[in-house]
Amino acid sequence: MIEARDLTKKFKIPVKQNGLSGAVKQLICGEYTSKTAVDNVNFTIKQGEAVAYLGPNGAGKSTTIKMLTGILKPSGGEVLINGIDPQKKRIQNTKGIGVIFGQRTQLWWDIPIEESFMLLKGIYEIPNKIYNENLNLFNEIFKLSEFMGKSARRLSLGQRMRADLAAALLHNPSIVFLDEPTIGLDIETKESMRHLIRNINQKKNVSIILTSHDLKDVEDICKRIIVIDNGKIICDKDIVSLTDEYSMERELKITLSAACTHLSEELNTVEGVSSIRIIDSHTIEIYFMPNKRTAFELVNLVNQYIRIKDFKLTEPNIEQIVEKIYYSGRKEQA
Amino acid sequence: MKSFWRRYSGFARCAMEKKLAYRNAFIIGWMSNLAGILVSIFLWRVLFLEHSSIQGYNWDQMILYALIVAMLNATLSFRTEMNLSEKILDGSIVSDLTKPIDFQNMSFFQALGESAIEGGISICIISVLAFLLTDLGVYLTLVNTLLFIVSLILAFLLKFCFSYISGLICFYTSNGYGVVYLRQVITDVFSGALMPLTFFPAWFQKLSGVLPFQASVYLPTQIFLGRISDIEMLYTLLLQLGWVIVMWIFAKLFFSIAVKKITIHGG
Repeated sequence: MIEARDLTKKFKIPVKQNGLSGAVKQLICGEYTSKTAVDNVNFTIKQGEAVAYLGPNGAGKSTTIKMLTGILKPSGGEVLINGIDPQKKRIQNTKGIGVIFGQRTQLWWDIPIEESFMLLKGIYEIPNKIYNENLNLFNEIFKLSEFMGKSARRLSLGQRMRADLAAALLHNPSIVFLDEPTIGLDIETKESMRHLIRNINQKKNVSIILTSHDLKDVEDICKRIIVIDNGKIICDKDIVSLTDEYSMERELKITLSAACTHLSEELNTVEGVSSIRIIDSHTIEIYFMPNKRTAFELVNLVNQYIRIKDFKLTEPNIEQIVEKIYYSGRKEQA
Repeated sequence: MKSFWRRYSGFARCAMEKKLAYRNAFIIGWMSNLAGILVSIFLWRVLFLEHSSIQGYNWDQMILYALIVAMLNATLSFRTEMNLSEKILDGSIVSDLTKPIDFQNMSFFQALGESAIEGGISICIISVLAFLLTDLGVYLTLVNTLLFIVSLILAFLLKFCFSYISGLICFYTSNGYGVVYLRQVITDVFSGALMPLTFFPAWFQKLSGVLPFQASVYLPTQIFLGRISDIEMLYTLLLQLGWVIVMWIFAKLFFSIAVKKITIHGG
């Protein structure tokens, strides 16, 4: 269980005036302003939950993660990870957590991956049985054996990230923090990483806290979304209720077997259809509210006029929803 | 104890492998060491042309002094604290901080691993030089050698503390080289690494006597050269041990304060 209460982090930033005189002034009597990176953040995450912690660049995501993992000392409020303060009892806390910072590696740069893993086995005092079990599981999903003997510097980014994720999970942590784990990876590697993360979340009841700008990660792994902007939480809901709340219009794109001339006027009168866009003589896009009219009914209706050759239904995705949350958050603050 | 060894020995092993991976850097480093040793040998040679002893040091003792200093310098080189300061400055320290390990112990075992390679090779090279240039056998009595080894171990621990503390200063600065350079100047002067402390004026000797640095270089050389009487021997080793304990605890406290200063932006 992770609890954050009134969690706040302020950074001291030097104020420098322009030019050489400014630099000298700064040297003699430094002026500082404080920037609040995380501002009175509150949330509770239960064991086994998979939560996405989202926000635009510089919103305070990484700073929060660093406070949750005990690296940064909060300026105010408190964090409790399974009841202990992660900063004061860093060593005790870190035994039970796994951390990935997608932009860094925890592997030794110059020695084989195998050796880095053996080092972790020693640090966490992982029993042989668990170590081998985990290694087999990761090997199955990640094909680690292809590069176990290579040093981290010689791996591709995809290989390195797979090794990094495996390294963070070797000791069966009960909470895993993933700070942009799929940044810069190809589709196949992303897919296998999501697969593994989902796997440990569902089968081992491991809590997941994920930050990512790839919302496919979020959709695949998480059930709950916390959005932070300018250090403040602007949304904390589970994905299902979010999708309902933002149940936006869907888009139905229809390709017809013959040219349509009067179709749009006919459709405009149908209840639940909000707008029509004619792409060309054979293609039409219908925007409709799914709670008033189903896609099936619309397809049927159109098919009565002109035979349909093909159609495609686009659901509102998480990306659009999050975009709306960011936008409404910005508007409120302005 | 067994658990402690299991958790930390891996760092020494990995550091050794890393050191071996950078063979060429190591060889080049040693070439500059050798140049330094040769310069000091030639310098003393000129001075000894006119004198049979300088400040109570004869030729053999002077050369052995210079060689022991070179050996200590080559073992636990400035790379140790550069590694540390880089970690702090580029933020990769976060991956150490998210592991259930004590940062100081971890750094120590890494330094131990690197130094095992550096020191092993240094001892070989220095022994050959000492054997060729001096009447080495006179100093290699059993008791003397054992006492010297004990003193070397304490000197190593102390050197680690100096490097570790100066590396930690990077939590407060945004550049590592300046700090490391300053540390090197201070330890070189006050530890006796440039020349025996008795060559300096009395006030300087008094000052360096109350500082911890002499215990990391000067005292071990004096033990090896047999310049410390049996009565003073215990006092000398206890002084070294005392400084090790004081500096180790100081480093621990310093880390616990400095780590709160950590600011890693972005990423």
